[in-house]
Amino acid sequence: MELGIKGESALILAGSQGLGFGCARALIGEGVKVAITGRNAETGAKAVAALGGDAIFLKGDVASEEDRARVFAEAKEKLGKVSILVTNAGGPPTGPFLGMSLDDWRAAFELSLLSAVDMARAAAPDMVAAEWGRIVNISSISVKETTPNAPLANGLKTAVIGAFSTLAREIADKGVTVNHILPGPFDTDLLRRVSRDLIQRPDLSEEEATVEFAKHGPMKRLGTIDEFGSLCAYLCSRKAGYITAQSIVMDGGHVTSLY
Amino acid sequence: MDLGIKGEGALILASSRGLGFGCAKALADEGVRVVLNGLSEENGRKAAKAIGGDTIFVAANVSKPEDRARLWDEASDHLGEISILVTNAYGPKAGKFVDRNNEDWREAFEQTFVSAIDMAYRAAPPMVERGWGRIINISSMSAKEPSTNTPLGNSLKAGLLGAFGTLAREIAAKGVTVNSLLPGPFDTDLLRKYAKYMVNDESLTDAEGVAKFAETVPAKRLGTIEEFGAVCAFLCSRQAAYMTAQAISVDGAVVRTML
Repeated sequence: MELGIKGESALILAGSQGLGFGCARALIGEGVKVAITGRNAETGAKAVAALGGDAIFLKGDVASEEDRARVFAEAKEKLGKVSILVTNAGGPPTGPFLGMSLDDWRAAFELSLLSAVDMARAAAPDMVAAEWGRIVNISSISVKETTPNAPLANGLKTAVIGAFSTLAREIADKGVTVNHILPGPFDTDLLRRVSRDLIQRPDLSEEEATVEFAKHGPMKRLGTIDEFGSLCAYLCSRKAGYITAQSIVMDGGHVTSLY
Repeated sequence: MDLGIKGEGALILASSRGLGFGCAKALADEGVRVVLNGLSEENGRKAAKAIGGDTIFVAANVSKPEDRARLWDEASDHLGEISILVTNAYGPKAGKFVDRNNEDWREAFEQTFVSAIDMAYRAAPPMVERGWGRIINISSMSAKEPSTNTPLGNSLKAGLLGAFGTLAREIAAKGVTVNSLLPGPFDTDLLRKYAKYMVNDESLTDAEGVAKFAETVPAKRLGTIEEFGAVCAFLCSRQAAYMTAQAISVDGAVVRTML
């Protein structure tokens, strides 16, 4: 399928690994110029080498207001424009609701909500002026069905949905769409690190626990980051112009709610 | 129906008027001892008098940490034990998503989100210890269908559903329920003031604005604060013990989402 986005320019937050990297790879496959951000220069360099072409890495922490402003300015300068924005951030700490402090919540607010809001506010005006743009937010299935022990993410990723659905409707007639992808379990380094906790089997190796965890889902496997990237690229395509303010689940059938 | 909550102690935030007052009155009618809260001494004294009994009012701004601490202490002193908490806050600033800056978001987060979870942190542990308690969060229908021009409220009230949904499940086995009410248009001072703007006709008087606005509601009328209070009282009842982590719309059918 010809997505019609060759020559567009994408800024992908936290794109040096995992799902963000999957989005970057899929967009590059469609001829999009890509800048990825991340906190670690070494991981970023590796990612850029793997992506090939003229992909660029911008070092920055999405939770930092100064870094966000700098990264956005650099992306715009180096890419010429940012017509596609993929918002993404590392997950906030996990643990029971009753074990969190108000400062845990404030830090999670800056990381999970304000990072996305701030970058969207930076990117939207140019998209509106150009009468074309795509904003895709990488969310989580936890906004649809709360995940135990993830109160910060459950709260603040849900808040992004409310914020962006308002933005989506403000600019819906300007050729700019704003959507969310709600990933379930994907084969990422992050999942490998937490798989033992997820199935409460500290006796297993990360690899064994990941294999075991994968058996829990209806499909008995994890999603791949390329599958994830494909959906992202599709939502960024010309063909997806009538889809906006939506939250689309890609989770191998994990979420059980009907709608 | 005897709700079985005679003698319980309830703290209701932002309750000298409007929906919060409706909850306080309905609970008091069931024999619950109530502590009211608000910004204005004068409104508060009037409200306490209207409810009667040993009702007290505590002037405190729930968006300030020190006020919340004082409010909790004074309410505990008066009630002995707070077994019902109703969280509520004035709505954050309105306006377009693209016109709100990072400071607007931080302020709204403290006012709408942190105020509610901070009070829940105080209330939940003693409720869990006793094995009975009720937390009701007054949210908004905008958590389900975002309203135009209220990105801050749309986002943070939706976020609270994620936070409280997590808390609810952590303490579901301890006799404590946590639910949210999603009010639509109610006959409150706030709505009376804004109705004419909501129908885009500033030339109307407040009363004319309300009448015209009510025509847009499927029920063709505004809800009354007594109706709202009744749902709150039911959710606080012994009978409602199996309902938890729910978000219940009370809106004269304004929200169109089916589930």
